[in-house]
Amino acid sequence: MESIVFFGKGGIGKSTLASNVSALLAAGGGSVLHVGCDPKMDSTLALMGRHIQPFSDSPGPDPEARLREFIFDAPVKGVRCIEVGGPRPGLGCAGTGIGVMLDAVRDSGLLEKDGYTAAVFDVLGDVVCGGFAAPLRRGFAKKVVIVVSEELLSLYSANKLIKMVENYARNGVYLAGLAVNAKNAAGVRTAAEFAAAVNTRVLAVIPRDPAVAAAERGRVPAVLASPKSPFAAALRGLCAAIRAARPGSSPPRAMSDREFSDFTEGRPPAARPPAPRSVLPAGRSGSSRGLAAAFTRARMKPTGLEGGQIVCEWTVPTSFDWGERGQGPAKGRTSPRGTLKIVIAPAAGSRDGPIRLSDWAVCFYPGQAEHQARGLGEELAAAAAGLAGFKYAELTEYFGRGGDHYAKISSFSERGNQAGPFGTLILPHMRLGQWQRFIFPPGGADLRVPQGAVMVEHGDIECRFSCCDNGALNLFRERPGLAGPGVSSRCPLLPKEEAHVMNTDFGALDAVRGDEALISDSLDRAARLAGPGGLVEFYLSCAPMLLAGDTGRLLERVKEERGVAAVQLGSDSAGLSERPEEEPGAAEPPGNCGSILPGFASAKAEARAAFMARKLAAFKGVKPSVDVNLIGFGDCREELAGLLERSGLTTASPGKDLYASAARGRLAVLPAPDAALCAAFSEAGLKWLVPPAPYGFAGVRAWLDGVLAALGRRTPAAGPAPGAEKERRALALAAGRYRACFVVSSEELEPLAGGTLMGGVPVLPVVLEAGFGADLLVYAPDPAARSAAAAAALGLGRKLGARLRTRFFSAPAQLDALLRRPRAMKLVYSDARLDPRVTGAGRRPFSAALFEPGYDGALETVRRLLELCECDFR
Amino acid sequence: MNATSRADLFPKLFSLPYQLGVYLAVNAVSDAGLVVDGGDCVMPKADFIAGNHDLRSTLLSPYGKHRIVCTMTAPLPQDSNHERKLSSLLAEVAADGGFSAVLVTGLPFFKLAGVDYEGVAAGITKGSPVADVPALSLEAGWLEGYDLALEALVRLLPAPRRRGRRPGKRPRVAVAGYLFDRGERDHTANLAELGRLLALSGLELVSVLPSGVPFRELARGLEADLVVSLPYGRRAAARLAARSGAALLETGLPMGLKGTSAWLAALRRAAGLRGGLPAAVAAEESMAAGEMAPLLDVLAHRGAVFAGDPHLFGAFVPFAGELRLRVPAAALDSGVREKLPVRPPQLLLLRPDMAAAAAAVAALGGYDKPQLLVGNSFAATEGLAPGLPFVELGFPSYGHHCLNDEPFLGFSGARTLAGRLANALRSGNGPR
Repeated sequence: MESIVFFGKGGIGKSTLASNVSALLAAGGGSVLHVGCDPKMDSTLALMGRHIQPFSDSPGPDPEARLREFIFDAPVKGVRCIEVGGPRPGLGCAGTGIGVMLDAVRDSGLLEKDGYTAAVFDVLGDVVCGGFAAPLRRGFAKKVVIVVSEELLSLYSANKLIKMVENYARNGVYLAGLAVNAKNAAGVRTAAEFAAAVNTRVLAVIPRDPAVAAAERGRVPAVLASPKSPFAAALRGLCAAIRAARPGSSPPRAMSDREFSDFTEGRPPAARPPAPRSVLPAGRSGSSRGLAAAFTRARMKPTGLEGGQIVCEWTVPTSFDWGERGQGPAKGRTSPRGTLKIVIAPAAGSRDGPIRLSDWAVCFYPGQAEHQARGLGEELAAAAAGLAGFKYAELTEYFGRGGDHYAKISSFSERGNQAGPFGTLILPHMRLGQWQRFIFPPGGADLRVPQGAVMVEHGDIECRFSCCDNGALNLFRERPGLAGPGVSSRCPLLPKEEAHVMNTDFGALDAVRGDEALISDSLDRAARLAGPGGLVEFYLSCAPMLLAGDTGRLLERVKEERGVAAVQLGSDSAGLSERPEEEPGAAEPPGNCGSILPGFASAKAEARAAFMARKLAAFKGVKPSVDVNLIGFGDCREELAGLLERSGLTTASPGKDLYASAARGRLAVLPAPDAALCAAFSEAGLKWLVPPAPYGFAGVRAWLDGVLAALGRRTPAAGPAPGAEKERRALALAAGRYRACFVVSSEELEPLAGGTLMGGVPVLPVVLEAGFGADLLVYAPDPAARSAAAAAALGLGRKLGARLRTRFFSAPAQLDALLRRPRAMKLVYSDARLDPRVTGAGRRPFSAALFEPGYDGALETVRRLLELCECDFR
Repeated sequence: MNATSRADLFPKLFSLPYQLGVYLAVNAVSDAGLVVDGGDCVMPKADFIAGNHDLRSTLLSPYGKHRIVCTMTAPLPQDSNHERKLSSLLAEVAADGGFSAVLVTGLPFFKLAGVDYEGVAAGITKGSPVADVPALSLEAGWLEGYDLALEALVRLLPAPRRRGRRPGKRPRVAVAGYLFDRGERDHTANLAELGRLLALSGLELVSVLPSGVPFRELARGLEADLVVSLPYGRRAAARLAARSGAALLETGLPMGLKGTSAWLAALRRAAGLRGGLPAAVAAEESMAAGEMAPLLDVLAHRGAVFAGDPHLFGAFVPFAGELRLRVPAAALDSGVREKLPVRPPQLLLLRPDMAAAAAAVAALGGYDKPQLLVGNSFAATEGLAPGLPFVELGFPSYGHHCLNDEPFLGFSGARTLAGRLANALRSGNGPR
């Protein structure tokens, strides 16, 4: 079966040529399906003699039945027509509509079932997204015809289209050639030169012929209306050429933008190698071994990706005389003396002061440009010259080397900065395959919205299911510690489960026809739920983002009409896009696992703070009636309130209205800093405090002391219940027989002293206080990392006043061996449930979720840990 | 509308996403891998299965060798050639050696952007075979996702060997489209029961697609003389039969006594065996009926609300009928593709708003007032019928795990499930 697709710049005559080709193919005795893939819906006009109803008018199940309903017999014998149609201009996604219809054609097997001998696809002028390339997917068009004129924009468009055809060559698609619809001989020459430049051929030159305009007025194909016209003769030639077209041994190759520019200025591009037969994935570069050697020779080590650019460590040659050139690298900007950070970037987007090589450039990392002046630029250029034979794509491929596809994923991610010096990677499903962490910082807190606020996630059902409690790896585990539920075995609920978090259930129809009505309606509903003066947080998730609707206008409307505050956050909420260049070291927000789980984006924090401050302002002048208001505490609230009361303080009962309760307290005590809440309290003139976490006897006392001091009380903090101290000593005696182990990366060493890494629970200090010994197993892939980690571990031990036994590993097998000794090391910290790395070594995993606050909680924590040490289940 | 509550303004629909079905299919083939084109928001979805529903799942690994990986791509910033990046990653995964088959699918925004997954998958020619699962999240639900993922796996099976005639040998049967949603002993017991009953019926069960076995073992399905298409995998079964040239028989689930016997009889006929069911099968049915008879006093004339998938519902209603248990109301978590094999109950809700469904169930009165809730976890956690004794059945079952054999298909399954229903009614255990 002939399967032909016509592309070309808008208004160039594609539909005219396509419909006449359909008519000619049918005239030869064939059965032709003519498919109009242009939302203008005029492709079939000449064949049908009228407008026909488009397929997109009838969404619903049973696509084959719908398809047949919208296929029309044309007056032209042997031709049947279908128009895809599309949304109202400016709304929805026409490309999606094309994809949906073509999927229906293929899935139903309609072309084969109905015995078509040819299918002709007439596609919208410029291919603006993958949807318009749908006819090039497997099972559709084989031959591509690009219609061009002498106009540069037409040739520019054709050049882009050839790139598209290159991409789809894997599906057996090939460029049959160009149909030239030029005004004059000069135009034909230009088009022919273009054809030569891109290594294709001209199938036919279509003359300007009044017969065409006459036929179009009569809504009939010109080849039938005026079969003897020059146009008809040319079309017969075009038809024959298309039929005869076969994939060439040397496929066409699109020009680069630079080459095209040269071409337009009359400078034909230099001889270029032909394109490969098909553009199949590169996989591992064949030159990766050579590249590794080249990097070594250049004394460069890729350490991460930032904003699509490769960050490397570069060791300055020892021959370089630092003393003579200046004062050496700026303090804090480099690792050991002589090692600098550099950036390799695509040449087009490189930063200031780049040294251009190949299609990339190299420069010093921002903030280190002074080295250029010190003469190091020449050294860097000399070193990088050894890599000049490699393309930028090869360098990025190399970064994900090692046969480790998880590393590859990470290397593709802007945030997957594996060996990167910029903070800690937090996602437990990242950085896999080489060294998989044991500590997963918790997520989920961001799902909680302030009272009176409503979070609307404008997304599809997949977004709705982007968080789940208590899974195998607890990818989205509940927050342990003060804000969480403590030891919990609750089952996941149907998401989104929070009372004020909603999903709009964006669907296929919204995509094709536009989602304005859905957004508008959802915002209205959210505003009603929030009530006047409330806050609506609107998250635009990935699929609707592609529609690029005017959501700002809709938000303004709901603010005005409903009297709510509203803030919009986009894809950045998923944390996937590039971080701001000026903040390379900014701390990552915790728990970014879901599409609506942003880091505490500043816009959101500001909106929340302003909203909460307004709510609090309503209670201005209310006389405080209690000492302490515990805000944001989970199941441990009662225990902590009891401690405060035993210390002579009054506490507020949890009220329905957070803001009214807050206004009644002299001091608001929070479990952790909250960017919005703290700002709102400060703005409202309310006193707030985040005291040290009340875990372990010492921790509880410090927490109470902190609260009492903040209130200016001199009364002593409540101590443990009678007998508790005695029990603690007995438990410590038992705990002294055992050791607890922490498997960490070097970046995690310092945070072990506090609690931020483990949801606010200071696990290591509490373990030490309880009497357990502690081991650190530190991932250190090379001697330098080992030496740095050893120093950090020593510092940690000093800080905690404990001797921490530290050992190092660089591979899973080494870690496994270390986990198996010594025998006293019964406990290993892991946030993965029943972690087989731990149980396989005969140890017991434990996590922050086992830790309880308060004096009684401290004893219970030690009892739990001892139970784990002493249980003999496997 | 004056409603201002969350439930009224933003109804929580009883529905599951397409990709969860794809994940379930991958979960059910022990060495299959899945690349999901999208951000890391796709990863926690695996938690709805691994560690919550299926305590034996290997989808996620503390060692880092997850069977589901994502490309960490988002709509913005746009990549100049996203497909090249995807291809490169797929090539890496296919060459990894840890997976015998690799599937690729994408988040809906990539479907909108027209990513050519089929072409990209076909372009991977080295290493393990790769197939695409269409990215249909915007228009299809979890059952379609499951079926299409199974179909993709069938496409990847090696070319079948020529099936020779085997005179005098038992006809070989492959069951395709079984919902093997976890590796616990409800499903392993179901499969053992099907194998046993087929053997009693003069048939040889050569393969169940899927059944937790490695990908290459699924190729045994291509040796079958008869492919039995269960409703969870109609497309996959049809593709399997088309590839091997075997006869294809579409059935429902073999649940209950009569349902199981009828199913076995249909299989025998389709396999070309003459005569009725062997006496041993009839004896099994009779024995099971005898054992279940004392439970009828507990179950008869009571009413159960069903909540779960439509295929399980289609099998459960006739079984309940055998027990004289009524099903006056049902909430289904997926649209119904096929005509339901049973007369719909008085209250049948498809992908309902859970709060509205609960209100409708609560409004059932008189002799229609239900006494029992049978369904998946969400039926209980979303309060479909608060206070009613609850029998957790289907996907997901977060509150009921099977360390011992607890089949629900075949004669053994009928006994076990009837026992669970009666025990729940007697003990009055309400939803958690």
